[in-house]
Amino acid sequence: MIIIYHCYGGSHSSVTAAAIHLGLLGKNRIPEADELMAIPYFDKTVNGDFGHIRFMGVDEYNNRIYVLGKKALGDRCNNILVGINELLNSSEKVIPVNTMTSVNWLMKLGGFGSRRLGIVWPGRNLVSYGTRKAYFDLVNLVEITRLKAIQVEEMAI
Amino acid sequence: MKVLFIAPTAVHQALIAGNIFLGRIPDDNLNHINDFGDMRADATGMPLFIGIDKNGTEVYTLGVGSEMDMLKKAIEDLRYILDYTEEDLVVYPIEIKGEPFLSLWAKLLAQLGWDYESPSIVTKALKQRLPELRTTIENFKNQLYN
Repeated sequence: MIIIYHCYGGSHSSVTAAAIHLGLLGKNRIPEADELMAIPYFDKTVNGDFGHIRFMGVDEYNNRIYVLGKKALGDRCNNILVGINELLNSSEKVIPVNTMTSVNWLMKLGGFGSRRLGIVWPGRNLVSYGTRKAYFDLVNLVEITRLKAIQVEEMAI
Repeated sequence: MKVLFIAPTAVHQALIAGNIFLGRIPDDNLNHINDFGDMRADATGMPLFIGIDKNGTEVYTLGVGSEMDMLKKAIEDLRYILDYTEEDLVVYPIEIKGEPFLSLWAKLLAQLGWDYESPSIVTKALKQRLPELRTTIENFKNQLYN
């Protein structure tokens, strides 16, 4: 199964959710800023990365985890990804997850400053702080996604 | 093979392109095209099946909003991840002059409840683009089959 976490830039909330899913970040405590910065792609994307579905890893159920920056496409992105999968008649299941539901204004402001305006130091600090504040929301979203993946897998059997 | 025409909506220029591809607009009357301007058909964000040509190519349209290049990239990446190639699915963005205005107008009117048909101003503007679209699609078809 393929799980794609997507957010505006594919740089913060989606990457953090994917890292939680893959066990790169623990579920029971809020990570420090330097732990967030150590995640692949966290606050490191550039303009050309928009629209690229980037591989993050494989979870214990052999699900492949990806991240995507989809700008302001919203939930429509879910239907597009599922629709393309159906159009191709693929036997693989695709679960797209919009992580924007867990994003707070600190993350938006910090992400905009760091990635769009290039004001890296204050933007990065702000987005790290915001991500830490939203952390358990992201953990919750990941847990829901993992359960959904198990359900989808069971239904397919 | 499958061809997917993408544009800001699935039911305007992408739908015209799909129908030109299938050789279905002989009289230039856009209102005779199934689902033309029907934003309800575009609302889901799922690809819209248009038909099959004589070579067995399935034609679809998809509304992707204003970020066509970005979405083309995402669809092609997903195609690659799912282990398919350009032999299976070709994504073709339909870009025409005055596009931001047309999309904005169509979407604005759809928000106001006029979502079941294309407003005449949009239809008129698209009709003016028909020769340009025909050339684009003929070139694309030649590329695809030759």
